[in-house]
Amino acid sequence: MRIRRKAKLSVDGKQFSEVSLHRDIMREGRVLSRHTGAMEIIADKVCREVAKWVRERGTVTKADLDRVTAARLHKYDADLSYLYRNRGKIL
Amino acid sequence: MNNGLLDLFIVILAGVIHAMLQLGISALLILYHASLGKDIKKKTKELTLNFILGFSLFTGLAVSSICFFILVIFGGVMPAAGVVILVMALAVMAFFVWFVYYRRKSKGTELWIPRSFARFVSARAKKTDDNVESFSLGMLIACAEVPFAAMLMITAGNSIVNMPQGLQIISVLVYVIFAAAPMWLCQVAIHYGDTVVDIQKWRVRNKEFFKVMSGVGFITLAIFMLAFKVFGSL
Repeated sequence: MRIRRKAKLSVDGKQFSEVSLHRDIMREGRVLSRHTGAMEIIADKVCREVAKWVRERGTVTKADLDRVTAARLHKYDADLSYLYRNRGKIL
Repeated sequence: MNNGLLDLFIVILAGVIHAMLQLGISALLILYHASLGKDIKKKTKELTLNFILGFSLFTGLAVSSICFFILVIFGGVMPAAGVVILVMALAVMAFFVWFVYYRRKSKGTELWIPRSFARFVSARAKKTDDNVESFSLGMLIACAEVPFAAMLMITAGNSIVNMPQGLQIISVLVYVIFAAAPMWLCQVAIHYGDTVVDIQKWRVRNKEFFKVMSGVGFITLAIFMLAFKVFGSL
């Protein structure tokens, strides 16, 4: 019997974590003074969508993850998406 | 034109051009971004205030030191040859601002500084938890801006030493106030409800304008110095 190894969901060699992505989105929401309750809902939805996207691929780069997260965020909050997309591009 | 007024005008013009350099405001926005994500607003305000004070102190000390050096080395009056070199350096800086200051491939506001240093500043801003750290970060950023701001500081210093003693300290303060003005304006904007995103979007929209204007500023200052300090003193 062939045993198929379950794909390890990793981002640039590190384990993908929905919790840390959720925390990240919540932090960006605080920067824009968004309501915590609304942010929780947005972060939950975006994390689910991104996690599904990562599961389909198995291994992704950090840049890809940021790009996809920003794209998913754009549906709910354009400013938040802008902030996410431009991290590390200010200086 | 009255000599004192002329010198004051040169100091103000140099301060305004220094204000158009973007490193300070970029680092301040990164500090805002990092701090607003984890601290309460009052703490963020304190951190950014200390950052601006650190930036201002370093700039003020640098200009004062340059005044002192001009006083010691040239006896207070820079020779015409020195001023001509300064004018040429200002003209060269204009081209550097036009072609080197912003990274060409970047759609954002990424600057000329090495990427490793940019990453270091971002990491430092994220770790900044107390006022001393943010004050030091402000000083570091002012120091990092020296390659582009040095000629402006020397130009301002050369004019400040020609002023009456009572006005010299005030002129240094005037230079510092103008150089740090964008950061104060950023503080005020955020206080009145603008966000980091609003300011960053505005900066990206006006990036080309700032690039052109700071280059034009350098050229204007060079022409001004040539007219009044070189030909005017003949």
